[in-house]
Amino acid sequence: MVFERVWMADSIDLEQPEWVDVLSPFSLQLEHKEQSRYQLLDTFDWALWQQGRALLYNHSGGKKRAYELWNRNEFLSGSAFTQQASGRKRGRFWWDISAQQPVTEPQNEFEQLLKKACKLRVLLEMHHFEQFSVRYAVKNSDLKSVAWIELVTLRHSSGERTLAEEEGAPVVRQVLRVLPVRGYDLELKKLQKRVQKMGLPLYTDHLLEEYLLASGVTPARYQSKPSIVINTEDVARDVVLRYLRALLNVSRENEHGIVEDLDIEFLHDYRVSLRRIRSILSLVRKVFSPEETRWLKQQFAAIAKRTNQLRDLDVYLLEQENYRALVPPVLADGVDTLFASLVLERKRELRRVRRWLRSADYDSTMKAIQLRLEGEAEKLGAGLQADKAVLSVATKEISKKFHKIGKLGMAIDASTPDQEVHDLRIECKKLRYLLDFFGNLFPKKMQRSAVSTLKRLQDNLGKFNDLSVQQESLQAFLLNHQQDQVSMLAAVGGLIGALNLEQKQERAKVTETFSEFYSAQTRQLYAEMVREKEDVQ
Amino acid sequence: MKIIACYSIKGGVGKTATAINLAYASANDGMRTLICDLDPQGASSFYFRVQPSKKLKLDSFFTRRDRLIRNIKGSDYPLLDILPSNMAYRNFDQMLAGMKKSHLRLAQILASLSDEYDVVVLDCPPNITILSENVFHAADQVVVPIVPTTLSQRTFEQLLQFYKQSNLKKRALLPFFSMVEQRKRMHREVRRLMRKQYKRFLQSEVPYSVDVENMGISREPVLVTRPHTPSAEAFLQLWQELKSLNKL
Repeated sequence: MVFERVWMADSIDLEQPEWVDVLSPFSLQLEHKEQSRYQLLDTFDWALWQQGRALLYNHSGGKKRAYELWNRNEFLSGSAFTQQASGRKRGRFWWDISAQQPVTEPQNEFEQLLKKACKLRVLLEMHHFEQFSVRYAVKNSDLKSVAWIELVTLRHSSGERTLAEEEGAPVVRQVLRVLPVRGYDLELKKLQKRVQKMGLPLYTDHLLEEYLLASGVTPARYQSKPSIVINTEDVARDVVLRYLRALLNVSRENEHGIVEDLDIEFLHDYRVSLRRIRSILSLVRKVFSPEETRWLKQQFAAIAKRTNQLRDLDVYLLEQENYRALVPPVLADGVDTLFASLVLERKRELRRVRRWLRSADYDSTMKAIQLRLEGEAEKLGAGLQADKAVLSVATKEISKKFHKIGKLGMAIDASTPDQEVHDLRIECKKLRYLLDFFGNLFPKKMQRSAVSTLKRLQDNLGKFNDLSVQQESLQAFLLNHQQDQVSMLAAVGGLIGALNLEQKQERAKVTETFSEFYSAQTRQLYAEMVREKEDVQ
Repeated sequence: MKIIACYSIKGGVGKTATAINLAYASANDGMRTLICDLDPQGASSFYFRVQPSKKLKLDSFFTRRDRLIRNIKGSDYPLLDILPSNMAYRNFDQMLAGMKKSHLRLAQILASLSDEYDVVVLDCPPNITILSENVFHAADQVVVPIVPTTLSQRTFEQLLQFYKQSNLKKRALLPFFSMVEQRKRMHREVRRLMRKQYKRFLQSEVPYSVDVENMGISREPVLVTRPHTPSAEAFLQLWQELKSLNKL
């Protein structure tokens, strides 16, 4: 058996004399021509691409509107999941694509894959291009078809012009494919040899990626958790600065998505990177002068506070179905009334945040911070630890934090006040940030197992905390809405009761999850991390 | 897998035209289809521009599935393959005469293709031989083109006689009128009489047509070259009738 073979090209016209010569005595007969227009869709953080997929929206018009989900390294050489588009408008979220609700379960593998990658994120149009496919029958002297040749051309669609096109070179990638007809192996071999003579490179798995890069699109450029390269001998201040700059970039890149209200993850990523910045400023001490550190901390605290309310509302609105399930059926309508009022509140809050993000005040604050971080290091007053090797600073901070957690955790039993459990949670979070931040300094396996043991404890503590935050804000809601509908207030009361019960269950687990975390094995692991430092020095 | 044979004792009645148009219609309908050209004259192979196979030895035709499969060629149309004719097919009968269970050999070898094809169309040589007996045993339906003349009436009766003597199921025999010329009185008379005598005539009637005769020049089914002519539409209707009989 001889199989199909695929080549790469960029400007072939099979009807040109050079190709006619090469292919003779075979002749070509045009069988089929097709033109499709595509949008490459992905989330802001390229979640589909990161998982090895490419989602294309075929909008060639008429009945052809469809979604195609490819393995991106098998684009055009493999096959795709295809789903017909249901409405005239392109879906914004994975659940729109199949006219589902966000909470419904995926109906098929296509939807499962989409849901798993996209979650709550909006699908953005990353690039648009046209695809021309031409199919020729390869005829022998009897004019019998003995093979097929398919030429597929990818080209940036007209409309916006790419940078390369501005310079006069349209970006084009072609795939030339020779397909067999049963029983004509000899002819196929002959034909493949002839095509080979033209010196085209064989198809690579990275067609789509190459095409995108050539068109000026860098897939997966944005990462919500920036990773920077650290060398053990780098001095602490340089590393911290580099990391702060990267984090600040992440938050700035998310501003647009918040203002446009594209999806709620923009705000989340924005806030997480600000929180990381603030943690580093307080966790990695004495790299900047005390005045400098204080000034930066103040600026970031002020910025972060502005979006607390909006984020809380986002989190609530996700809980509607859960809340309905938590209260007895008689109170379910009250929950809906509550959510209707939360939706209105979010609208108001979004307007406020939007106005702030667009203000000259915000812009000048951000610019001032950026100037501070991006300028020469000397401009930022140096602290006592500024010039120490980063590894020694890291191990010192990590080991300190780990011991503090040990002390706090050991003291917790069933009767300990909630406040001390919250303190433990905060310390765990700080340790987690240290591990994320300095992770690259340690062997991968070591870092991973440190994070994963910590994560289990954090999940438990996090849930406990969320439940108490929710109760508190429902109580605050009750105080502010005493004149409102009784059914809604009753629902809020019911919710507080149910959440309290759940919180107690989480609380009961804490002692056990902590002792699982603080095991001999974990202590051993942290001891080894500290030893890493001694090995290097 | 359904096997449909196009068979006639008489030559020149539109047998090959029927076989290739039926096969094309079947493939176009989404069925994986194989047309077997059993006629040593190789008319179907000629229409599909496939050279007769030289390598296939007659003795391996009935015994070696792999050899048979190696000789199958793709046609120019999606889902339609062809097993081209072979000059050695002249000696089918001699070969079969020496084999055990000689009348079931074709049925056996075709059954081995059932995972590859949904429909097999057999284009058979005219006259009654051991090969045709094999065809009668293998086929789910034997489609018999009949030009409405008195002579055709006689040959069809001969065929019925043969079925009776050989204890074959007459139900499988499905005659239809081919090369019909409405303006000829004899054509009208014969059709009326024969439909009265034999109830299992297919409804479709294929008219006489220059387009069908021209298939020898275009070397493509009329369903491809002249899809909207009465003859093309008649072939399509014939396929629809067979399709529903076979519950495909």
